[in-house]
Amino acid sequence: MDAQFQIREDLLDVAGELDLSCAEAFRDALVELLEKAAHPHVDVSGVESCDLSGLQLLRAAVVSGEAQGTPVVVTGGDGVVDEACRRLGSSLGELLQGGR
Amino acid sequence: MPAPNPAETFLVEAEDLLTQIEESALELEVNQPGGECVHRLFRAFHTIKGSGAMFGFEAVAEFTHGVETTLDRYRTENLPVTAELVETVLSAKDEIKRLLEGKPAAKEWAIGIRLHPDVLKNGTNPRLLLDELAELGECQVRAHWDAVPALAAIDVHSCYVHWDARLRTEKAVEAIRDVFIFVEDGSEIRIGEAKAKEVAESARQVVTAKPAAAESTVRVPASKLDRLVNLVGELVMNQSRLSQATAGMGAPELAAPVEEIERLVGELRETVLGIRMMPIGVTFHRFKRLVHDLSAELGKEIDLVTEGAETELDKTVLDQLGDPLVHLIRNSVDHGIESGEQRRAAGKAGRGTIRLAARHMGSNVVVTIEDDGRGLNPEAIRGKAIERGLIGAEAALSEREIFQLIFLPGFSMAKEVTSVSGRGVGMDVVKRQVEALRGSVNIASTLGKGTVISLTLPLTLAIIDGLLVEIGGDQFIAPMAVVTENVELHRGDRAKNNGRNVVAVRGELIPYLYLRELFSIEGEEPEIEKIVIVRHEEQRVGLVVDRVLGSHQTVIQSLGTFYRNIDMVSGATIMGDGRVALILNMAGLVQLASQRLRTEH
Repeated sequence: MDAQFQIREDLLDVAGELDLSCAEAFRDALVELLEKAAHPHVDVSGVESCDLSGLQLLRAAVVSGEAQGTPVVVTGGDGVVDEACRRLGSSLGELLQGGR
Repeated sequence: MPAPNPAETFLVEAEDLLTQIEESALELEVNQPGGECVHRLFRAFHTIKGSGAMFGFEAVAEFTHGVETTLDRYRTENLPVTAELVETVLSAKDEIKRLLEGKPAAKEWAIGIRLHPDVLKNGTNPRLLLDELAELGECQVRAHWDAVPALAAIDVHSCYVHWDARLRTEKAVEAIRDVFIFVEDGSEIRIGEAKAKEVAESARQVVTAKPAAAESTVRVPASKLDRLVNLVGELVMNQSRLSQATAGMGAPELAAPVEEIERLVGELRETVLGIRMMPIGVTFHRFKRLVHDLSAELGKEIDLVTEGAETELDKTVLDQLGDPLVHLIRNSVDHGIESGEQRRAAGKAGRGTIRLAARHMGSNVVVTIEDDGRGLNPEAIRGKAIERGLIGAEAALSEREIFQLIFLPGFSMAKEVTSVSGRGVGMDVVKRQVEALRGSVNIASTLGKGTVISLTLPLTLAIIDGLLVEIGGDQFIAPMAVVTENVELHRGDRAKNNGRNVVAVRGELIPYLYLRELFSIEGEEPEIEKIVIVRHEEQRVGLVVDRVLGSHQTVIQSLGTFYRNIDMVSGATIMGDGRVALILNMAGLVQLASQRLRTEH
C-alpha cells in the first residue's frame, strides 16, 4: 500500500510503505504536524515497511520537536519500525533518543 | 575393498591425540613439576609433528615443532608447571585442530562506514549492504543518528547516518571491500584490524548478528537473576534522578558523563532483561502428556500441535503462565473437542486437534489455544448467564461480550462435573491470572468449527515503555504498548455530547473516563484536555488527562497487598524527582468504561 499521512489535531497517522518515494510527502506531513500541534504525536502502527529515509525523517521530527519545545511522541513503532531500525544496526529507542 | 587413505587415517589419529592433549593439559597441576603428564604431552605433539610431516601437513609439523621445543625444556629440566604453560598447550591444541581442518584464522575487523550522502538517490539500500556484511561472519553493527538534522534542514534523499561495525570473519579483507564496491566513490569505508581493546569491547556486546555456534553456559539460581533485575531497576530510577538533577544545574561538563551513564544503564537493562528470557517451549512440552492423559480419561482422540516453541518470554511471565494454560487446555479437551462419534457425525475427522502456538507481536507475545471442536454457542451462553442471574434478560450484548461472560466467576456450560472441568472455576481464574501478568484474554469462536483463545502477554514484567501523563500535579503512566493515539478534548465538546462521555474519532465513538474524577484530584481542568486512547482486548477507551508529558522508561514497583484490590492501578514507579507515579491498569479501566457506557444506554 502506498504511504498515507493523515493529520487530525495533534496526531499524524502514518500507514503503508514508508520509503524514499514518499519521503517528501512524509516530511511535509511532519512539518505541518509540528507547526500545528501543541503535543505532536506520530502513530506509525499502520506502517507496513520502512527504509532508512523514513527512519531519518522520524529522527528529524524528534530533533525539530526538541528544538521548538514540543517533544514528539511516537507510538506503534514496536513492530515494523523497530525491526527496520534493528536491520540497520539500531533500535527504535536509539533512533528516538539519537544514539545509544 | 579400497585401501584407507593414509592422510585420512592420520586425521583420525590426530583427533584422538588432540583429545589426549586436552585431557593431559587439564590434568597438569600448576606449581608442580609436570612429570608423566608433560611426557605424555610431549609424545602426543611429537607424533602429530612426525606423522603430519609424513602426510603433507607441513604447516602442522612446523607449528608443532615449536610447541615440542617448549615442552622439551619442561621435560628435561623438570620445571614446575605454570598457568601460562597450560594455556599455551590448550591454545596450541586449538591451533593444530584449525590447521588440520584447513581453516584460515578468523580475524576481527573494525569497519567505519560513511556512505556518500547521495547514495540513496542512486537506488542503494544501506540495509542490504549491512546484510551482505553480516553474511561474512559474526557481525555487530552500530548506527549513528547524531548527524540527522531538523526537518527544516533535511534533504530527504540524503543519507545522514553512519555506521561502525565489528566483523569477525575468516574471509580476506578483499571480501569486505567487495561489499562496498558499488558505493565506494565518495564514500568513506575504513577497514582495519580491531585492536585487542576493541575486540574485548566487542566481545562484551550482547547484540550479535550471528551468535556463536556453541556457547558455554552457567547455571545460576533464579533468585539471583531477580535480585539483579531489582538492582537494575534501582539503577534506572537513580540514573533518571541524576539526569534530571544535572539538567537543572547548568553544568556542561557533566553532560557527557551523564549521557554515557544513561547509555550504559540502558545497555545493562537490556542485557539483564535478556538473560531472563526463556523459550516458551519448556512450558509447551509438559502439555503433551496432559492432553494424552486427559483424552485417554475421556475416551477421545486428540493431537496436540505446538508452534513457536522458540518464542521467548520473561521467566516470571513464563512461570505464571502454566496454570492458565492448563485450565484452557483442559477446557478444550473436555468441552471443545467432541467425542469421535460426534465428530464423525458432524463430518469431521475422528481425531481432534488442539493447536498451541506462540508468536511475537510488538512488545507482546500472543499465545493461542485453538481447537477444531464444537465451538461456542452464543445463544446458549447468553441463556445460561440469564439463568444464573449473571445478566438481565434484556441485556444487549455483542457476540464478543457474550463470549467474555464465560470468564465470570461461577459460570460453567458443563452439564456434568467431570474430574477434568465443569465446576465453574477456571475461566475466571484464567482471566485474573492473565491480567495479573498485565495481559489480556480474547475469544473467537465459530459454532461447529472450533474456538481460538488468545492470551496477549507482555515480554517482561520488570520494566516497560510508558506514556507519562499529568492530572493536576499528579503523574500517571499508561503502558505504551496499549496507547493508540491522543486527541484533544475542548471544554465545550463535553457539553455537546449531553454529558455523555464519548468522543468520535475517525467515525468511531469511543467512551472515555475522566481520570481526574476517578482519582479524586482537586483543581480545575484546563480549557483543552488530552484524551489518551488505549486499546485492550479489541476495545478502545479514552482516558482524559491534563497533559501528555512523553515517553518514560518505567520500572514497575508493586503496590503491596494493601492496594491489591484497586482495579484502576496495577503498580507504581518512582520518577526522577522522587515522586511516585501510578501505573494505570487497562483491564480495570476498560471494564469500568464499558460498565458506565452500558448504564448510560
